[in-house]
Amino acid sequence: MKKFILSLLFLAVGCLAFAENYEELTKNFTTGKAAIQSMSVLTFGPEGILFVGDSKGGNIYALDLNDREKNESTERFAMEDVETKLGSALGVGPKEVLIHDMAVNPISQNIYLAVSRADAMQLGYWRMANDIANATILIKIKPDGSMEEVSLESIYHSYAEVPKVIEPGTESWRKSDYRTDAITDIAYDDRKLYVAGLSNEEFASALRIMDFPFNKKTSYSTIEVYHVAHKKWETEAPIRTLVPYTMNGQKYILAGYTCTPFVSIPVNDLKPGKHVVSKTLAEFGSGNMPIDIISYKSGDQPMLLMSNSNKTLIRINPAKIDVGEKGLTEPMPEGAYTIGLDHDVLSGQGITQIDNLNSNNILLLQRQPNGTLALRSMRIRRS
Amino acid sequence: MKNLVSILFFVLLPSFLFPQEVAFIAEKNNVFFGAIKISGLNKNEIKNVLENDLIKIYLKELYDLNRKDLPPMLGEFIAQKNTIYFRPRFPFLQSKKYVVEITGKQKIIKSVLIPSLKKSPVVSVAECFPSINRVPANLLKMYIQFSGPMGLGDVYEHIKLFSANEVEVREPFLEIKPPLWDSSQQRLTLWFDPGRIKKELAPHELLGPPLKEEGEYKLVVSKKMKDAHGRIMEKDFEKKMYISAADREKPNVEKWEIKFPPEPSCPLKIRFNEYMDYGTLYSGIGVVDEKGRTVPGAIAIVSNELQWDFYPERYWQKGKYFLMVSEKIEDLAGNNLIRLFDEKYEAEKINQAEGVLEIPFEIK
Repeated sequence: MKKFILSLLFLAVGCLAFAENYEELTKNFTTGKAAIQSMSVLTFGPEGILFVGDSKGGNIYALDLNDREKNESTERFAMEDVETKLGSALGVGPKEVLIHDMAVNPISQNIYLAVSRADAMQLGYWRMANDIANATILIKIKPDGSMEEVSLESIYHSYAEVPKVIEPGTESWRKSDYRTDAITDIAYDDRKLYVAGLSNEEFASALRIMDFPFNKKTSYSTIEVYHVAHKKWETEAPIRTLVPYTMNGQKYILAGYTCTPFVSIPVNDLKPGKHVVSKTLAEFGSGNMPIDIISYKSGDQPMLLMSNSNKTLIRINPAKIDVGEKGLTEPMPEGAYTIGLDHDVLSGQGITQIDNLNSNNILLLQRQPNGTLALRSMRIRRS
Repeated sequence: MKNLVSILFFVLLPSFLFPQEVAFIAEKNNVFFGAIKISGLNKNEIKNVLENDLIKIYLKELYDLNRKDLPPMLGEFIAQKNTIYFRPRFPFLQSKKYVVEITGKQKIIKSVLIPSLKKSPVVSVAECFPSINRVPANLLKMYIQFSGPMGLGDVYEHIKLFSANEVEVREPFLEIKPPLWDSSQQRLTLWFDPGRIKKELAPHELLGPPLKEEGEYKLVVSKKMKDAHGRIMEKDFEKKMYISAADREKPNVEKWEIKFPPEPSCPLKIRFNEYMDYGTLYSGIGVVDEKGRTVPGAIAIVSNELQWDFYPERYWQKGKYFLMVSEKIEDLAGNNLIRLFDEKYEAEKINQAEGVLEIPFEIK
């Protein structure tokens, strides 16, 4: 009985801490319509808060999805032919839906997709969903495979403007409006949001740090990268995907660019208004655009995993990143395809979106040999 | 007990007594426009069908795949008398068939073809600014307002300027690429080549200004310019222009007639001392309250851009206000409140035009 009371007490204290954190994080939230113009990127924060990067609107939204029921399952997840199912719910065929991003709520393991009704036949080698349409539909898929829409008409949320985003109206080399890259990726870490994308500054590639809960303060840096394959320093190309990661007690942003430099930036270097030169750790091969990067544990070994538009998954052991070592600043040797950091290229084609599903599995969105799109999981630990 | 089960069964899975009809509501003035109407069920049947999720809507081509794993269309069912309306969360596709499936003792499957709704009317040039036909020889910008969104293609090959004897003026406009469209792709801004307008610059000396004083010109927007749906316009658009002397005077605020609202229901009106540039007027003048908050309202630019009227969204409240006038607003020749367009480049003066004039007024 004593033990029971003690555990009750623990439970109560636990709940209190949980509630306090939630209260604190959502203190400036209001209930109303979240007027998101394009769900360009999604990422989960704590307490089931979903962050949405809206390139068209130039804002970051924090949505309280009211989805905080703990799910400790270590099960896999599989859903075949996701596009036909989404199409059926939206009243269109499988080639008339686009999935723009995917995020898994780490608390509930519910899967969220940013979706639009648009012509998927317009996708191309360099043309991604955000280049074709604006995602305005948020779909939730539960572990049992059922699907529902999350209404944004009346939702508990807050938002913040991303300063100095690139103006619309100019066409990029990918035949898309540069504005679609205003926000290319967001990551949450310890009450900070790291927001990559294009600015209207002379050095267009920007990395912004926003406090969360949102306040008026956004720290703002522009980023330069040495592009080994292009043989030059670049300031225009946006970071495509990033992950905050601590090495040797110091926090870094690890980031991937198109064609495919992989770089590190010490967070301490990201001072307001400063132009930062990143360190090129590797060149993972031209003709490719990285899509997602996540950190996870394989057994006890921390690992990084990157998905790509035109390559299979790249796995990196972060222990192999030597933070003291000088970055790559010389052009790619003639005939070489990759250089720098040792990495694995994993089996499995057509994997675009990835996220951690649970302690044993990573969720993948993967084009199947029969042409359909499936949600699958990749086992990272055997229980 | 057996009876009870069969009664329950009957309640849950009714056999429908009435023939069902399914139709798409295509009348725009109907509150259920865009919905499907399912009629021929009685009230009890409707209640049972809706409470037990027995009615589902599918895109027919997916329904015909006969797969059990496809979710029905998202949307809302609304019961009214003997009718169920299904309002889809996202509109039905035109010229496609959808299936209504009602599960009772027997399964009712009805399909409905969504008609192709009338296409929006063909786009035309709705307005062209400046609205007046008499313009200064150093006219800087023109704005062409289309009645609907236009395509993304080249525009300059479709817009030509002719002098009185139908001679085409060579490259009068700066061919900015991509063209300067507003966000709705309906208003195009054309710049006369500033190099030809500014005195002492090579193009000016070489080719002269595109518009010559006392000349007569005709701007033609070809009907071949395509709209967002790829359709051409019904006819060419033409605007005649008569050219007066170059305007080398700045707009003068002191000569404006500003009529502050005498009563809370009246608009605020500004009569300028010359015709102004449509584009900069829209964004360059506004009203804020004492705390610096923008007063929401509608702007009307009238009298051929000689007058700016502001109608607040709500009647004016008592208090102090400021009429905010950006020094960047321009007349037809691109002269702003601080600087002539033609003036030699002086960094100081350019920066000066960043300011905003604050003209206080009070509603009593």
